[in-house]
Amino acid sequence: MRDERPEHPRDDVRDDRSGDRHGGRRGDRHPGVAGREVRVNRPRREAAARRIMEQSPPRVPPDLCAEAVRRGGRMLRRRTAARRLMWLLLAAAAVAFAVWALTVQPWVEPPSETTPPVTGWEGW
Amino acid sequence: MRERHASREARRAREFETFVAGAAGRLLHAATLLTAEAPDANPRARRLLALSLAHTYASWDRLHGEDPYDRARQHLATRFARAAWHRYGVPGRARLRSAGPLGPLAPQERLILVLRLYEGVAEEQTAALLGLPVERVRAICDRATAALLHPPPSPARPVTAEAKAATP
Repeated sequence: MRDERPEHPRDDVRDDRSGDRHGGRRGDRHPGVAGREVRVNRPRREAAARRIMEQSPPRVPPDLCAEAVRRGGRMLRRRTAARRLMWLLLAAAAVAFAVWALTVQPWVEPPSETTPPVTGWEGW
Repeated sequence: MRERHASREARRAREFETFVAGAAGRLLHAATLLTAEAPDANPRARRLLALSLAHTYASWDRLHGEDPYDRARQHLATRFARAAWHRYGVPGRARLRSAGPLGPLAPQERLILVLRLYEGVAEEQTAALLGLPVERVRAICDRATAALLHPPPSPARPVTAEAKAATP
């Protein structure tokens, strides 16, 4: 429906303030009228919105960089410490497992506890 | 080892200082637009920017040629989106007193407007960054532009209703 009418160059000249009075906010839900207007005037509207947004830039506080470096440095130190702690825990776990394995030796077949060893049958 | 570490740290601090000197003005302006604060009283924007810059500093050695400005902007946007999401449901803090040119808009509309128009991020990148479909980003951007250019006659009630309807 919105593509039936070809875009006429005069649409660009028309002041979009007058056209959007009824079609802008409420009509955006309605895809027919607002869709065409938005598409036709898009560059101009975007330029106007950019102009509105670019006025009155705030003043940058002088200690911003130092603050960011302080926080970022703390973050880095924490990360390093966490990494170190993780490796330390991993190494400790590996050592503990090795010591346990060497003392218990779980791969050796345990002596049987239910059946008494059979001895002295070779002579039959 | 320790000397190399110290020299790397000094180089990082120097590069970062240059980066901040060049980018902080624009980033702070974007953050102030996002939080809808007055240009001379913007504690939330400053805090947002300081945290983003701190993250950029912490990941400075692992950028591998990526643009640090891009990284800082991404961090700013995602942190603001998360903060706005958490702030939305709290009754007492649901709607802070807002100033600035984007004051009457909803947080998501401000975010998309700033990313798309002020920063000039492509539609697809904005959608990927925020996890939204491209059509939705376009629709929100159009609606926010319309609301910015032609503010409704009584700004308090219709905008609140529209913001509630716009945020899924």
